[in-house]
Amino acid sequence: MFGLLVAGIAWELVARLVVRSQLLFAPLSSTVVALWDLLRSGTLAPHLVVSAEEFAIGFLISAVAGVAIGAAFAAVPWLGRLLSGVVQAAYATPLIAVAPLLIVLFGIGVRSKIIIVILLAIFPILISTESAFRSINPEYVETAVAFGASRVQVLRKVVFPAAFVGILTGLRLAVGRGIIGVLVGEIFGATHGLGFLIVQYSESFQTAKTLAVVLVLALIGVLASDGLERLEARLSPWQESKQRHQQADVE
Amino acid sequence: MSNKTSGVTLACSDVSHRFPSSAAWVLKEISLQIARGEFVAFVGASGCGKTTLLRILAGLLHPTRGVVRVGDQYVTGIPANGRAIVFQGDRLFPWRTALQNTLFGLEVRKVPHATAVVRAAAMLKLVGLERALNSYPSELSGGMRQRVNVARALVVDPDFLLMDEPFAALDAQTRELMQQELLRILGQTMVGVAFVTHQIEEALYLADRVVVLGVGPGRIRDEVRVPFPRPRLPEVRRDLHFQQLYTHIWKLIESDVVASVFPEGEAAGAAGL
Repeated sequence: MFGLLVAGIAWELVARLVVRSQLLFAPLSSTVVALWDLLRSGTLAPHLVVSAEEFAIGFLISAVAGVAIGAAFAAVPWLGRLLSGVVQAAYATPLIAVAPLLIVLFGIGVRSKIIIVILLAIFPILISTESAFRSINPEYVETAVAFGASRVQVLRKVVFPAAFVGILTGLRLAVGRGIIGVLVGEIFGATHGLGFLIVQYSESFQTAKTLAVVLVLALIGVLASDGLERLEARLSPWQESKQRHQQADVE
Repeated sequence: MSNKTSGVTLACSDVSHRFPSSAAWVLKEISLQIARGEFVAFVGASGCGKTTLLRILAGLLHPTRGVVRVGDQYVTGIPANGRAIVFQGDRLFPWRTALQNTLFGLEVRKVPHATAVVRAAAMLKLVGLERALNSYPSELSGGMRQRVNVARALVVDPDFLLMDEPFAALDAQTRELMQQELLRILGQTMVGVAFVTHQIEEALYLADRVVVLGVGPGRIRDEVRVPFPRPRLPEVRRDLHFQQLYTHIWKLIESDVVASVFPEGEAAGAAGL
């Protein structure tokens, strides 16, 4: 909280005393006023909805397909070996670079943004899922088998719960990349969305409004990562209790 | 498993085993019987194949030769009906609470949930964990985790409990406490136990019979009857007869232990120390 206060004051001072030109930079106070205007006039909401929709659809497809393909790679080793090079390369490539191409190909509508989100978000999910399934402790599986568990029971009661944490990690990594995908797609060519707004305002030198949209994005980022952490703690309470236990050990 | 008869035995006859990758026999011509209610310990130096033997008794491993039977039924693999395993290390599922871990074997056997919970909770109470039902393994101490491990195996009401160095990872005090606890818990059941350990003292304190295994290949060197009455107090370890049995078993495996600690030609020099 204190850190945020310091950052806010610094922002204000730099804008008022160092940069001074309202064309190049706007103080926090003007930004907040601009944000208030955007909210009150109803300008922001429709763009926010479009961006959210692009993100949600792209992320959902990435999650389902990434987990499915990752699981398939883990289950069918030759398939994984065959394609893991491609996947690793795709993950390492800044696929943002092909975004302009995709917009030419798929138009400036929602569709191209969804495809960009998928390209950015699917690989961390796929890779984490594959490694989560691969790194399951074989002792857990053997223990279950020794208790007479069938193949289906081993999958349901051991393999999936054991892989769960790793899959969640991949999903969390993918959220950040997905948000970047939406923005970049919209900046390269769009008719709606937060990225489109940023382009509009910055090209017409409405710096306070540009920063107001950035502020909204920062807020979304903070809320998203906080929410995911909470979700993770809820869905895998044994992890949290581990941390608590370790803390207790230290004390 | 209501059709239990106290006459059921777990028996292996003429069991020999070698792993596909190697020409050497790990186990050679092992024949023995364990009756329900009987506690049999297996001791031997590292590499004597005692864990392999336990896995064969469990049905996790098919012996190269020989057969394992429970009563008149051949053991051909999993599901290990009537047998439950307590592995080395606790192998609890970290995403399950103590109660949920204990429920595992019952879930797999499709015992109705309400019945299963009652049985699992009662078993955790028996091992002294009634206040930790909802704790995750990461919140439990090593001794408590081993209690859950034992409860998870006993709750399926097995005829035979196969234990692979269950207390090896515990510190000395906890181990001693767990040994007493195990005797107390088993005193309330009619389960037969095969207990693998590298500690002669642990074997003598717990078992009715100690099977001494030699190395290369693993053969039965001797079977020692442990005459001390039950319930056994920890002080039995200071009994003169206990010490004599200890010495007898140690002499049987000493050269194996030396060979495992000082491989190659150093053995002769070390034995002279």
